[in-house]
Amino acid sequence: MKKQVISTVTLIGRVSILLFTVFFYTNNIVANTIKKEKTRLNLSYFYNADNTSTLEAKLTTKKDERTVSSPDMPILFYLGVDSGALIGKAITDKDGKASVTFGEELEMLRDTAGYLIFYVEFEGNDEYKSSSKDVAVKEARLEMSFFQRDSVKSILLKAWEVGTDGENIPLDKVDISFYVPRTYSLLEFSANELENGECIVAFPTDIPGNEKGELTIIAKIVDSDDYGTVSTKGIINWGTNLEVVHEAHRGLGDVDAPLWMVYTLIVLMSGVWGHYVYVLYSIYMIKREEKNID
Amino acid sequence: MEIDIKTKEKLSKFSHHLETTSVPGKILLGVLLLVIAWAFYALLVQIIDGHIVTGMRDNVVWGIYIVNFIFFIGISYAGALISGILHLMRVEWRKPIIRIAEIITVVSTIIGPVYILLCMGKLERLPHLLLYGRIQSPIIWDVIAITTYLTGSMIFLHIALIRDFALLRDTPLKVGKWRQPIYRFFAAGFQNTPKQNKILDRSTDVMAAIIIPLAIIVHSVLSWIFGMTLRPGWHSTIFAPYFVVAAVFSGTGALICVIWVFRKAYHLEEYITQKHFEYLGMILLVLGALYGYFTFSEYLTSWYGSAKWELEVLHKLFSFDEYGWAFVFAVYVGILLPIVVMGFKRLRTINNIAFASLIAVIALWVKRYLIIIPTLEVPLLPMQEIREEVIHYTATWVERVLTFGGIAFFILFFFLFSKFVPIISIFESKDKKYITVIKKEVHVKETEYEETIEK
Repeated sequence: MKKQVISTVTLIGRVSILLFTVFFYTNNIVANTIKKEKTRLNLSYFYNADNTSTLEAKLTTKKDERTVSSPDMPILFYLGVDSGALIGKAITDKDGKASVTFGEELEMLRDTAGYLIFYVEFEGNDEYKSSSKDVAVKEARLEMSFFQRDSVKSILLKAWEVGTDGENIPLDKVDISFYVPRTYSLLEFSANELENGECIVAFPTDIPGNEKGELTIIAKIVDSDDYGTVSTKGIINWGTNLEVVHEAHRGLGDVDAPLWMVYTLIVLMSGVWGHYVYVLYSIYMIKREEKNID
Repeated sequence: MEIDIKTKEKLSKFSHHLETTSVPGKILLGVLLLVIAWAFYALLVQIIDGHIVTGMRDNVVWGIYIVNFIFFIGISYAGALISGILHLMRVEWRKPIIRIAEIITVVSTIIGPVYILLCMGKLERLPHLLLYGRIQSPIIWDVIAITTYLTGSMIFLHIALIRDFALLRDTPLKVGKWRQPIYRFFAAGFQNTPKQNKILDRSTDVMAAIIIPLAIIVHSVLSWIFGMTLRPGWHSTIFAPYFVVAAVFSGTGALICVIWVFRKAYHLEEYITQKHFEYLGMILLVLGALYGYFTFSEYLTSWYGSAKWELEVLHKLFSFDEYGWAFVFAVYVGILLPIVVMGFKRLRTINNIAFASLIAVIALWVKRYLIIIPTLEVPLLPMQEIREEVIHYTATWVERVLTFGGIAFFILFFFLFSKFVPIISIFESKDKKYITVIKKEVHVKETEYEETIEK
């Protein structure tokens, strides 16, 4: 009887230990799995007006069922699929964005369809899971020129794709927008569609330029699936002249004081120091009187 | 210059003050020099270690240096008021005290701005005031005003001293020969001729007339350093007249204190009488009432407006855990005591008036402290700071020693002045016996004339 009780207790103890151990480790595994947040990378490609290219990655994560940016995370940028040539490394800013810019010195690797493949990766850390993204774009170029016919001023934009053999393939049925840069952002004045690689829009003659009347025009293919964002710009003095009046400002916050203040100070100081000069002259007269007595 | 016997007699009463220094005087001189030496040591510590040795921090950027500056410029008003206004009104009783008032003006206007230099972190940038100063700044106005005021006060003091310098030049005194060239220079060739007297009287009238508006402008400009600042507790339109009245009040109080000291030390009971204390005390009473009115108006307006940060400042001032006791002393005791003393004839003794004046002067120093420090302790933006020395200002030993050093300098200047020139104008003040004799002579002559006519 005793032996049976002991063996039963022993069995129960062993099973308990086993269950506890299984439960503990399972819990840890689950905890570890739940602890790391998922991240998501978005990648955009820009071909800039100064003939440089920019890759911009945005890293986000979910917190309390909301998508939030992930700042201060290292992002690796590659050219090619599956960790090809490392183009650069950048740290995400407060908006979760990181970017690298490169020029035409970088030898572009295309696939058989003529796409440039870019790949970005976030390697993850104790808090966040790793993530990656790739984007495939074709090289596109824009060229802007200006012409005037019968006093009508126009902008001619030519757009083409750089083919695998280096040939220029005109872009067709691609949306393009035209902007002028203002103080804080770009002002869109026309949106059009490329036809056979060309687009003509009327020049905005009612927008003021700088002091010389120069206006900067920016043309952009925005966020195209095939080409990313491609832009170019041109400058011409067809804008209305901006009259800049260079006059000396006088105020409390300026270098020069208000005129009324200057005049008041001069009058007051002249009045007071004039009295001093008179009195000092009087003292001189007293001194001179002594000499007369002598 | 011909000197009459009466004048010589009067000079002889003062000459021993110029020629000798009593034992108490030497002890005083020793103590003053010790304090000044200690102040120089404190200054050295401040220069070597920087302003960290003071209580000033990022929050409370001004401390008792600025308080002392305003205080000394404030008491300088004594000369402008007593000398200037009473001179233009041809008030006779001013004559024995006029010199003391003028010396207070000059000495305090010299000492006051020194505290600004002590407050400046980088003295090497001082020339920037002249090179890059913008006249839109109230600080530039203050520099211009105080420089002009000091120059005017010195000229005013000089022309008031010309006659006595001439007297000292022509009277053999048992003093060092080095004094003679100085007396001769500052006497400016005065020989007591009618023409010279006329020129001198006219110059004195001109300076008396200009020193009054100048003093008003100086104290107004001084107040605008605070009044023009957008800070609760400072940004007030009443600050200009408030400061002017406070200056006159403190200046009169300081003058009463100083004349009491000299009356005791130099036994000038014959010249500085009960009347002088009563008349100055009456001025103190009126100014105290006026100052109390301005104070009431200032705080009532702030309290009624109920602006958040204004109320924070008022809470600091009224709370006995913070500055409440100092506020009571500065506003109630400092204003009411002179009024009470002067209001009751029985209390109107020389010692009581002098004591009330001393309390008023100290109260006004405290009031200037309350204008500056509690206001600065209330931050314009919510402050996330926990260090006590940043949140609250406490004057360190360096600042206190330099304050005492300034007071010691003030007393020392006076002491040295009184050893150089008579502290009471010999020419201007008349001997009471002499006045009585003149009146009797006139009366006798008139009687003789009447008798002659009758005959």
